Amino acid sequence: MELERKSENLIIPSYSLTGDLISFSRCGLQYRYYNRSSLPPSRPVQLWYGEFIHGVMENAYRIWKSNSPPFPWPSNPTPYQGEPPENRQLHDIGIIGEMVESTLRAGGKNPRSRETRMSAYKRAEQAVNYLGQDLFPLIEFAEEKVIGTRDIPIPTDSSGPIRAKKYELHGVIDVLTNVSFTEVLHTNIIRQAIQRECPDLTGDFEVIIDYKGTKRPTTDHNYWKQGEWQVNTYAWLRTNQSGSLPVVAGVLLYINELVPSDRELVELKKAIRDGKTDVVPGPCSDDESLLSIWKKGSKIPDFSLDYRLARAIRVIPVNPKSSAEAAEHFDEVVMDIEGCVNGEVVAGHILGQWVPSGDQDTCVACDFRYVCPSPAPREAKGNSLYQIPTAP
Amino acid sequence: MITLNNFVSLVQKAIPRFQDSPPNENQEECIIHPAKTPLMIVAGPGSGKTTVLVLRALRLVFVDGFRPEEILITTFTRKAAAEIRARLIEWGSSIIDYLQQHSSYPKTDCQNLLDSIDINQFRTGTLDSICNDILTTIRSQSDPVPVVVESFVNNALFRRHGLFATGAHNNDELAEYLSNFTFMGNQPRNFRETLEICRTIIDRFAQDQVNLHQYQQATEHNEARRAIVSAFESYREYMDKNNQLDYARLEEIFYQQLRQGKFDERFTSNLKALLVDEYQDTNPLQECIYFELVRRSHASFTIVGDDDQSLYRFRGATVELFRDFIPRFDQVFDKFQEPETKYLVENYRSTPEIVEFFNDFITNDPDFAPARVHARKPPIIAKNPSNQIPVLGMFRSDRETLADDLASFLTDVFRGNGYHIEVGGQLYPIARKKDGGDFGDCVFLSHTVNEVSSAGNGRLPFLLRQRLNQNGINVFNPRGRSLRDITVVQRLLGTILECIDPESKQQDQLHYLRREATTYLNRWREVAQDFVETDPIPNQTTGLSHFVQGWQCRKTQRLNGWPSEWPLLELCFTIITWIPLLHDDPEGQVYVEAVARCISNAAIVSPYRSRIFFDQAQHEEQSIQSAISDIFAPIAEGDIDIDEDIMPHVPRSHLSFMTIHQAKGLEYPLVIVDVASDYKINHHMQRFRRFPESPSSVQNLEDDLAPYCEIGKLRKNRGALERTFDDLIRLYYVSYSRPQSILLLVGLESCLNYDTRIKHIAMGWRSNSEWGWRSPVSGRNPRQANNVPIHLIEE
Repeated sequence: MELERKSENLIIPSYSLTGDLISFSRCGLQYRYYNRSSLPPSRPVQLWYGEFIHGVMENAYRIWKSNSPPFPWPSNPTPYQGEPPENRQLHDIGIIGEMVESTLRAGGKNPRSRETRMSAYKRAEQAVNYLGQDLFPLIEFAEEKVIGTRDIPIPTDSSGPIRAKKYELHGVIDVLTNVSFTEVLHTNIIRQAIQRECPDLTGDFEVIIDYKGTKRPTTDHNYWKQGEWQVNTYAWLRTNQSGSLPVVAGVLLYINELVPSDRELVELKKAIRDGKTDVVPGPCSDDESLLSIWKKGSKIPDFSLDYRLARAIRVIPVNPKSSAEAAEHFDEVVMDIEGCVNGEVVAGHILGQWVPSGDQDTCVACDFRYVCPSPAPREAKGNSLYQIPTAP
Repeated sequence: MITLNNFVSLVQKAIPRFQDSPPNENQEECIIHPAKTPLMIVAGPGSGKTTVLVLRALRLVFVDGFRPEEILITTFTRKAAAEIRARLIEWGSSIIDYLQQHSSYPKTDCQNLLDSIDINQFRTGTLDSICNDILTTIRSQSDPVPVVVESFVNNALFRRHGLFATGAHNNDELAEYLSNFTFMGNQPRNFRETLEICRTIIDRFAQDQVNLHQYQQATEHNEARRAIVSAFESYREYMDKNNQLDYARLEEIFYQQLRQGKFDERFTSNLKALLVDEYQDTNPLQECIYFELVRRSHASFTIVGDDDQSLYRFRGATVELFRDFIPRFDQVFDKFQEPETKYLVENYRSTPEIVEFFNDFITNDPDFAPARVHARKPPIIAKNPSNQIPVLGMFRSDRETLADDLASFLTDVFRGNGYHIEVGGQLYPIARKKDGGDFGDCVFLSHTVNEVSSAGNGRLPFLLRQRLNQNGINVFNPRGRSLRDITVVQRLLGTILECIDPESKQQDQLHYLRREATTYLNRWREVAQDFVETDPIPNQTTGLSHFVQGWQCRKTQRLNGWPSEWPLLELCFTIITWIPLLHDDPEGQVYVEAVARCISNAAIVSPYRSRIFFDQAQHEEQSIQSAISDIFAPIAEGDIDIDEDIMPHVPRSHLSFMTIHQAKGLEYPLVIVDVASDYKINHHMQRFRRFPESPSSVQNLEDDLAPYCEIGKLRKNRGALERTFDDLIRLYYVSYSRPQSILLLVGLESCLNYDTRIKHIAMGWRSNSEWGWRSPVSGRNPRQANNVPIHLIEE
């Protein structure tokens, strides 16, 4: 009597566009540890900040939707480890932020320092008051879950069969429609930005919105292209939902541009010098002058609101072809992930199966840089690799 | 629109797996049962319950025109939920593709329907995940997102803000009351046991919907009852204030808001069908939620389960809710249609020999019959052909011999030319599948897979691991050893300790640490010191020794100066650089995750947030002490469980060891059930696992709470000892119904002796002390039981 082979369960793996596919694209090995093994990062600075900004914007929208308090909204955050100010209004960004902080704290996520926290509040305040007041009236569906199933391409190399034929892809987006679009003034900055990139908008349509707790990437960076793929893939997911309208554009909002940091300005100056950013200060403008005379470590200049908004808002036109191509790109990413899963099962090892591909920024902040067979070189350290850990 | 009569034939045509084996008559009846009539499906093992549940949900879409987003399907585990979802998507997509391609179904009629179907929109998950999702999504503008914290955290919070805050931990009356719920019937041996029992009680307050006012009025143990309620309320107040929930509270809040109509507009009013899988493991609070959902939505209601496979009473599962579903439903919904019951009894998993064995087992004790959904519940019918192999048994005089012979059997089957058994004068080989057969086709099941007994002796899983390792075969048994006993984990934890607290200076200040914790902390340090001395790789320029010295002297090895604070997680992840199993082996990741989770969770409850502070001596000392108390001591005391879901794929070359609870819902070609390897003598301490003499602590608690909750009366229809026997019967029924081809029972011969005093439910004993495996004889008793229904593999 020959024993049968144990039947494998039908598997349709579920992937989050940002949590899985974009993370894997940044570094396969890091994705293996943080995402698949659920190992928490030891210094979750970016994680706290990203979730804080998203949380404030989401809650601010809820308040705006039910009460529509006039902008600008006050911002009186509770001092770090201090008592909350008295007599704050419900839409005070200090109160909204505290609510978000309480959720993050309950899950063990805390700001790195007093400075990190105050910087986050400052950016959140600007995001609500300068983006929110034009954005909120446009939003038709907030925190909309989009989900769809796609086929996983069959690997062409000899890595062996993968465990699934299909995968489920999901994400969360805000959506605005042609109806809300026509209900706001022509001076609405989001509307203007969309119309600049998509001048021929007619009929029924939707636009997807996503917030990024980062600066605007340089045009040669992977993140620039990833942003494009991301909104296009969201568009594919959205279009496949029943009752949705054609998606014509995606808007990425880079919140850090509203209150840039010292390091971000250094990088901006370099990007302008190298011709690798698409939004530069106007020639002979105050912004250009402020930026050119600014030196690392000195006070962050008061750039004009128009310039900061222009850098914060990125509109990506979308059409069926571009969204199909972007989704196909992520199909390949899923195929690669599933190939790694299979490789690990066969080999019984992690290293050698999950390809490290982080850039310098990713590797510097990675807890697993010392076990990584090929971390990105550290420029400031004379291209040395992370060979053997040392005490702090 | 598809007609009801056409649906099953559509399934057969559209979904490849049904082309040769369409749903059977009973399954079809369940699938096409009227949507409006509540349906209770009693589904035996291997009878295709998930298939029926999924096809019924799809029928509601394609025949009744429900949209997938209007259908909610809940089940008991995340794994089962993923499987249901995968089938819904795979099969639903196949049906849509088929309808789009075949003109026999009028395209114009179908097109609108098909266009509106988004198969990904089915709501599926565990009830807890659904509650969490809805509470997060549908909340008022002033409500923060609720955060569900896991047991390590909420136990720590209950300890600090419940028991300590109210002084309950020092209450002698409470200790006396708790003695009703300890294993030995004595007062809790230590604070850890006090905490565990109190936790179970307060979870039951919510799950059983206990009337706390009445509970506190009871004259017996009155002070103790008031003390625990006070601790519970104090803990709840803290949790509510800080926006943290345990799972019981999550369900309770969901139920409250559901009753207040908060979800009517965005959820309940859109709910058209509710299908509940594994209903036998529902608790009273969950029943309230399901009934309230149906009451508000008038949704089509289907429940699926099997009372004989209810295993989770210790978590609040109440099999009586399934057994008495029809009268309970009728009592609540007098204007609804009366539910109907349907049985799925055709088994497509096991051979007729195995089915006969577990059918006989579940009906062996007449006293169990009243506990079942129907006293004359229909038996399971085997549909697979026989392979001529009877149920097998391997019983030996001692554990070592058993381990030797079992390892040899397994090695022959999976690495050799097969193992031959003689049945009725004929030799039958048992061999792995030639094309790809391996240890992944087999599982070893036991009530517990601990490798070491409480007395410190190697149990069968330990001995079997040893023997198989000698043959070059690996096993996967992450639950078999406590995290604290795994060498690589000891190296990791010991090295961290040596770094942050050289010479145990701060550890020695913690006089409240229990001896168990101190013993382990010191052992880990010794293991780490030995490990550091081996100068592990990487060591080209400097190495681990240099790293540890730098830490111990607080002397920077970089350019920045010693930091003002350092996260323990970062230190942990850095040290695994020197421990390849922890960063390169998938199994090692299971251990790293458990340690990292503990450090990360401690950050929620610990004042120093799992960091070591160096700016002031006082902070440094206290942050080290805090880390030892909040992170290392719980691991040293065995409080941290591993999560093997982190490793979804066990290599097929490994033999898996599982508890019977873990194996629920799974099937394997070859299943080994360890029924009796621990029972050399009739030891009174072991009787609760095989033939209980008194009710289990869980039953005692249920009886204690019975007067103060609605479910109490129903539970007490059977006595506490009867329920204890019932649960043991169900446990082994689940294990015996897992195999596809071979079931092998293993144990010690002492349990098989004709005159044995070692009674064991799993081996055919009845609760009235009759033994079905033994027939009366005239003359001298034989050595071995003479009516054994299994084929014994001799030495």
